Amino acid sequence: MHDTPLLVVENLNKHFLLHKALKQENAVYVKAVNNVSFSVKEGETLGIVGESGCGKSTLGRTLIKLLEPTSGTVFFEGKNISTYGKHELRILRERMQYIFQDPYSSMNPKMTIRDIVSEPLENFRKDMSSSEREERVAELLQLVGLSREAMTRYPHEFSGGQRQRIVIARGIALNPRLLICDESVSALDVSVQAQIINLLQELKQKLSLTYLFISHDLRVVKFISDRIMVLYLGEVMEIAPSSALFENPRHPYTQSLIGSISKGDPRSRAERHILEGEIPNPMNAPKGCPFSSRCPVVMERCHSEKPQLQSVGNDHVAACLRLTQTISQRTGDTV
Amino acid sequence: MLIKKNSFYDYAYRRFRRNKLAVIGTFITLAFVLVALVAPVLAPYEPSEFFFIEGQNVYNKYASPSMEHLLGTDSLGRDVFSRLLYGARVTMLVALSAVIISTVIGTIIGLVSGYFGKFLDAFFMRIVDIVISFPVLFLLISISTIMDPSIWIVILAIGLVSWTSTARLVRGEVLRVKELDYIVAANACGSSSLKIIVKHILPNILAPIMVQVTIGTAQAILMEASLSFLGVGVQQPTPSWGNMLMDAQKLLVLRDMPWIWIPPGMVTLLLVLAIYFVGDGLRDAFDPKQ
Amino acid sequence: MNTILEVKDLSVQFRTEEGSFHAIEHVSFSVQEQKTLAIVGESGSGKSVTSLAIMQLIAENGNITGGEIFIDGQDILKLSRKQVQHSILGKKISMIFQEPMTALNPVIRIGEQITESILEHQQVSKQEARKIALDTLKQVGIPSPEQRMKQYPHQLSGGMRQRVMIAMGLVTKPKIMIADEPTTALDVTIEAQILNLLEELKRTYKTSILFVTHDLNIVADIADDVLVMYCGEVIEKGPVVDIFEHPRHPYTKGLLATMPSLDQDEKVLPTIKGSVPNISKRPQGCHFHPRCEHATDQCRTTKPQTYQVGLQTVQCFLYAPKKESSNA
Repeated sequence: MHDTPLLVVENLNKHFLLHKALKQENAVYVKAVNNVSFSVKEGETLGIVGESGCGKSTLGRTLIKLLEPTSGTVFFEGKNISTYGKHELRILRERMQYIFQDPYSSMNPKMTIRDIVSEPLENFRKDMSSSEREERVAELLQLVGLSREAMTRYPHEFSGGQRQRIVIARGIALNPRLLICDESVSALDVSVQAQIINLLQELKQKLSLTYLFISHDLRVVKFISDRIMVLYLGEVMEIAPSSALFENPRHPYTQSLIGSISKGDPRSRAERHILEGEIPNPMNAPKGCPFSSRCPVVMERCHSEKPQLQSVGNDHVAACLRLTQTISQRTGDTV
Repeated sequence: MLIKKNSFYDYAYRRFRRNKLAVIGTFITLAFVLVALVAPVLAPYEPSEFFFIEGQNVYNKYASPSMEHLLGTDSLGRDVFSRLLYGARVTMLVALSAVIISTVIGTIIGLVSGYFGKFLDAFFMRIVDIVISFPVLFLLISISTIMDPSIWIVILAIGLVSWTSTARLVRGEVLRVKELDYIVAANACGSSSLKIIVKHILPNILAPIMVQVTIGTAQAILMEASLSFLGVGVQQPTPSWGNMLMDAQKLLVLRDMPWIWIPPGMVTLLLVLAIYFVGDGLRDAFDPKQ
Repeated sequence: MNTILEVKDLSVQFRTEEGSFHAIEHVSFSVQEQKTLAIVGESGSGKSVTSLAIMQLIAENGNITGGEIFIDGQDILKLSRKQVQHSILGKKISMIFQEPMTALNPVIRIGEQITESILEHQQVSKQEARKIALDTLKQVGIPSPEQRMKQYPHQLSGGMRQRVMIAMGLVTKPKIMIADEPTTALDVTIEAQILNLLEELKRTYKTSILFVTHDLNIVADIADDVLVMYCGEVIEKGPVVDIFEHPRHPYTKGLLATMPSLDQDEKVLPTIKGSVPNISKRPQGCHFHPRCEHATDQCRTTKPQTYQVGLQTVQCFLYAPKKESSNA
């Protein structure tokens, strides 16, 4: 793992316009991604977790520019890609790829596997002859654990796990640097999930890839990630190395989230922690800290004041006013 | 087998075959096409050949069916049966050509509207609104008075007014398919818009377009019939089922000479019904929920 | 202890484009009073078909080809459809679905939907029904239930809708509730809430629960007994602790091993090779043999019987008594 950041995101915002209004200030926006900043080092896997509506998928799609960000900057390989136009964007597609959740819907049912996997090659390796392309497709299929015979077949002839392998083959066809995996194993059967996770790990080694791994499943994220970012209502709650996050979560939301996962052991049932309440509608998110409406240790000022991310340990940041309080020795309590 | 080993069409074909009405409809339609193709062989006379009453210099008008004239003769003494056979050619030529025009226009406009959205969508959909609200009959009467009436004008006119339903259908289908992951995935691996439309979207919305084509053909046949009946469609002496019905505008013919208007009316009804059965069969066959 | 639900030798067949196939074969199990039985399996295991068969909700192209289903001692397959609808469904047994949005009528207010189902099964006045509805909504943890009664399903969040579904299932005080993946569409924190609620309601209402899921973690949390299904067959069943601590069938072992654990730091996850076969291509003999490390020639040709190992029953030749193995 190198220390040079491959991806640096600064104050990224993606707001969706919900209701137009005559006056700009009356328009209703949903802040799907709100002031998100983080960086991904080369060769690392950053896990992004959160519940539905936390903006994790929007974030992924905004990074690869399938969605246009509202504001903020994204540096990829040192270049500011947020200003990229249509032509430069095409080049970016070569370096950054996206793996979808549902292996059933992410392939054109009317195309053969050969056509599906060679599509990025057709777009970017125009100098390749068709036989060279075919060789490359076979090589890619082999890399993801499928045989050459798969080429002439159609997606519906494959099982979910095999389909996800094909989607991964398409994703790595152009030797990208960064792979954004959006819930890439969530739709798979339990017994197949582990196979795909192992495949992703193996490919990362072989092709020195960097992953952005988006998932709601904390177990999977813990297994695959070097560092984890926790999102809630479009905002970053905590970023920490995987082990630190699970051993010493600092944000009350992270604590609740980890506490609410089942231990998977029938003898330790009572230990499951229940976080009360529900995720607020992003349309009327709480004013101060987004978690203030459910936080078990909420304070008066949490409802009005937005906490900033601050360092709480080695490579470990969290956004909670309680942490500010302990650091500044309770001086801010009356503010 | 004609069907490619692609399960979707494979299953659709099997489902279609199980639908009795659709199969009957297909056979009837094919029979009509065949008759139209070999009309010159089957027809006993030329369609515009006039017959005289034997020994007199008078047209053999309104002759009732006989061995000589299977379905009698019309107001000008022409053989109704021969005109019926040749009329099938004209009617089908008009309907098919018009449907090709409307499908091409409708599909292109639907694809562009649905895929690019925004201004283009708003623009094309307003055009659709305008075309739908257009008084077609008025347009055709005007055209046929200004220009030399020809079969091609009828084709063009029907084609140009009937693409709107195809355009709306295609637009809706594009909007549905556009959000699917594989379109987004194609976008993410750098495919151009044209490639996405042609390679990813079009093949996946072909089924509803095919249904629309069959239904559109039936509607075009009806439209040709009504236009010709009103005298603004296919013009005499070219026979078409529609203008053969023109004679039925006279009360005398309508009341006393059924051999003149029942045959063209019946074949129109039969063919349109058969095509509708095919269309319904296709729709059911393509619908995976069935 | 009383047996509330007993399923004996149940088989369900489906007709498809490619022919007829058995979705489930010879499934037998029973649920005791106030106990939770979890049916766990992957896609195509037949776990949902089993629960739908009990509720008589099998799709048109499927039918029950054999077996008996006893609810509270009555074989419901011997009753007429009318009798079942009148005295069994919704009364002695109710069902909670995975996606409550599709199970609730979108154009009828929540309150009306619940009172309606009360009036259908109980001889009470409209006022009383309303009161029962209100109480039940309170009991399933819906805040300000008076207001919620006036709302439509789409105005509620996923978690709230699931609570409404549970309330609707509870109003008739059924002997047993079938919950088919009731938390799969929900977030982790909401899932924990709903599971907790079910546990609580099971105690207050003294019902049994048949819980259908693909998630072994949930099984660990709520089940008393576990039924593991694969390719339409029960391959292992037993008390939850025994199954988790001493899984017998190679498939159960594999499933438990593939779960990423929170405590350990593995580098590579153990896997089960291959994937679940399609219903039309189920292998001969033991359905699991192509994916099994212990498969022998016998497994490829002959279907294993079920063998008793402690409190568990396992359908696998590995547990066949040695002396009998020759005539199996």
